Amino acid sequence: MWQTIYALIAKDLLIFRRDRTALALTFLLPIALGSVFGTAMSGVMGGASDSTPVRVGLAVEDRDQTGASRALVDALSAANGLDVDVVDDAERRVESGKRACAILIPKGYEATVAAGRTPELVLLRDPSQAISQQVVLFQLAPVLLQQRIATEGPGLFDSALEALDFPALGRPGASAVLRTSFDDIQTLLLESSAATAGDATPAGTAFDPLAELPGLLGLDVRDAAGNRDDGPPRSAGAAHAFSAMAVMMLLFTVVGAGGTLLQERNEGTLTRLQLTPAAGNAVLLGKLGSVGLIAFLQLVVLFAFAGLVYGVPVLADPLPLVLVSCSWVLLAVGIGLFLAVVCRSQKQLEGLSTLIILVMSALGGAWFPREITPEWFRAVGSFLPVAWAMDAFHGIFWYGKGLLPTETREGIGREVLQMVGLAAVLLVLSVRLFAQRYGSRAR
Amino acid sequence: MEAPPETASAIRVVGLEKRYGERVALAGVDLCVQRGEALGLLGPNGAGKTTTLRVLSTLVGRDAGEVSVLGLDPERDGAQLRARLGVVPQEIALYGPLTARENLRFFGRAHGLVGARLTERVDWALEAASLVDRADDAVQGFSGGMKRRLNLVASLLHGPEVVFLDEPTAGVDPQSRNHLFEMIAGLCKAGLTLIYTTHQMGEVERLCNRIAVMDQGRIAAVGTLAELAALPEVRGHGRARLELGGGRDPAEAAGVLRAAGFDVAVHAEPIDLESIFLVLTGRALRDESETEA
Repeated sequence: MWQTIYALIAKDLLIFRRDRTALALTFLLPIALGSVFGTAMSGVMGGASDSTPVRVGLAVEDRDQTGASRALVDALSAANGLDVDVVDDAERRVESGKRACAILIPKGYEATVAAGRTPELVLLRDPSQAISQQVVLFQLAPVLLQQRIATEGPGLFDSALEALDFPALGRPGASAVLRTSFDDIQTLLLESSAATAGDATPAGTAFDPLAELPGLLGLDVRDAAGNRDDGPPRSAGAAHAFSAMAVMMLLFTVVGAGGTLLQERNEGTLTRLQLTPAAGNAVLLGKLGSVGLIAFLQLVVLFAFAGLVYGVPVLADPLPLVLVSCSWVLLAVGIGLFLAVVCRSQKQLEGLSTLIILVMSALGGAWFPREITPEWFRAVGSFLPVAWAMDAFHGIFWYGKGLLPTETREGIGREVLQMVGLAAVLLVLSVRLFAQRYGSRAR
Repeated sequence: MEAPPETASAIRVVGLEKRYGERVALAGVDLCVQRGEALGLLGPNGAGKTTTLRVLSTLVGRDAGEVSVLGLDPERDGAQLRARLGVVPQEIALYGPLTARENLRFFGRAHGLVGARLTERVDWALEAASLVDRADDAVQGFSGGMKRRLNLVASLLHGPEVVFLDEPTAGVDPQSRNHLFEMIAGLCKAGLTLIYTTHQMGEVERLCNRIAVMDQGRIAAVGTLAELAALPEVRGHGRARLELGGGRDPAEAAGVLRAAGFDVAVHAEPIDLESIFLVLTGRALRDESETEA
């Protein structure tokens, strides 16, 4: 019996070793996905002391244009975790999803500071990017507190401790510490926020940074995207999730359907089709048509569900959605057929496509928002079709973007062009490769 | 080998060469098939039979030589040629989840048939394959013989003038093989030009007017069975059958021949197994599929 067991193990290992695709998939896929996740989340979840924090984009619009306002802009720019853009259309950037947050420095900022009053800064935020907002708030805290210290003096610390619900018993000590060193203020804030994240904080006393910190910092927080007055209520989670599923699952569907090309080759029906008068490109175009229709139907069903059950505004402006859906179907079919033509076997196709789709989806923002990932990660992701499709679908569902830009919002025209362009390239390559590999010699 | 004459030929091949990388698949094939002729193409595995058919049917190009099928060049006039050509592949090239009728309608449409003509040809094919009763059943539930018959008629829907058959009877029971033989014989009678490849010598003897034997990428010999048997390298390898009249004992006759200086042996010649099987089980088709109770 043992000899049989040994022989079976040896045989299976031998077969496993011979199947290079399975071999690569077994070892490379977890490594690749682990690397992608690890890199993406490192900035948010922390780690080694020398790790580079994620820099979150912050648009700053300086309407005061004075020495004091410029000093504030400089101080914000110097913050470690902020990637500051000085702009004159901050609201539009947040509305378009370009920035998770923006600061408006109002006219009269310098005069207010000079009068010893708290200046009213406006924080515009995109409610769908909660993680980015938290990072922005914690980065803003030391800069803005410093501003308030400068204007309000040490009395600020007592009001700050009160706003934080700091236990009365410890307030004098904490106040003393606050007065002694501004660095310690940062420490206390960070500890407070850490306590909020853990389970140890008693119920009812949780520190909600989004709710309380802005007041402490003298910020007037306004939503500049998503749940606007001119449209139905929207769920940021559903908008992202259904955009992501539309993008990622469609790729799996299309690659699976494109794989039937290899199945037809194995079963001989492809040869029979090659022997028909049309043959050649007609076979590939026929496959493109059937795969495209299946994919489009999948999107229709998915979006109908998203609209009916989760209130995702799929019918708010149908034309851009139809255009983006068609473009993405075309590109996904292009990717699927290209892979099906390039791969020599169905197993190879399964392995390669799984690797490509999962990694591309992670880098392109289908699994988690790209805003929370490191800059180079975002840069790489922006070149990937998944990112274009995510930006387009999410842009429609959450930001209410149309095909063309308006005064307040950017359009999704560029993403549509990118998708159609790459689809054309991939389809031409697929047709040529198909003709080389499977096509009849004569037309 | 001398180039064959052009007159009345449906297929004319001169000096055909084909390489796959370093491997020589065809090393100068010369062949001529007349219109209405059934040619058996025999040869061991790797002899070049399949490659020859792939070149003739436009599936692959050639490296050298001249090829003409129905007066058309497979490389230059592919679409025109494919419209007049039928190829019965060795594998069952059908869609299992579709019914027999759906498969036929699909392949008919792919060949440009539409409307009443399509319906008429599909009905003809179902009748020819004896599958009228199972026309609306999924092919994946068919027996091997039923699939083979459907595989054959699917290649004939568009009414080809030349048909290539690549082992069309592989893996079927004697009844189905017999039925397939009759279908193919019907094609011969209808005046179609056939090239038939198989490892079953008996099938070729029964169906083909002439036989071409391929080896190492060349035609080693071509002719009728009698012409092949008369070739010098073949003659002397045969066995003669002596029929005795008047109830005389074969052993006695053998004695007489031996006395006259002939080297003779007497063997009883039993009936072959296929004949016994057909006698015992009859010639009617059996279409019970494995999935049926």
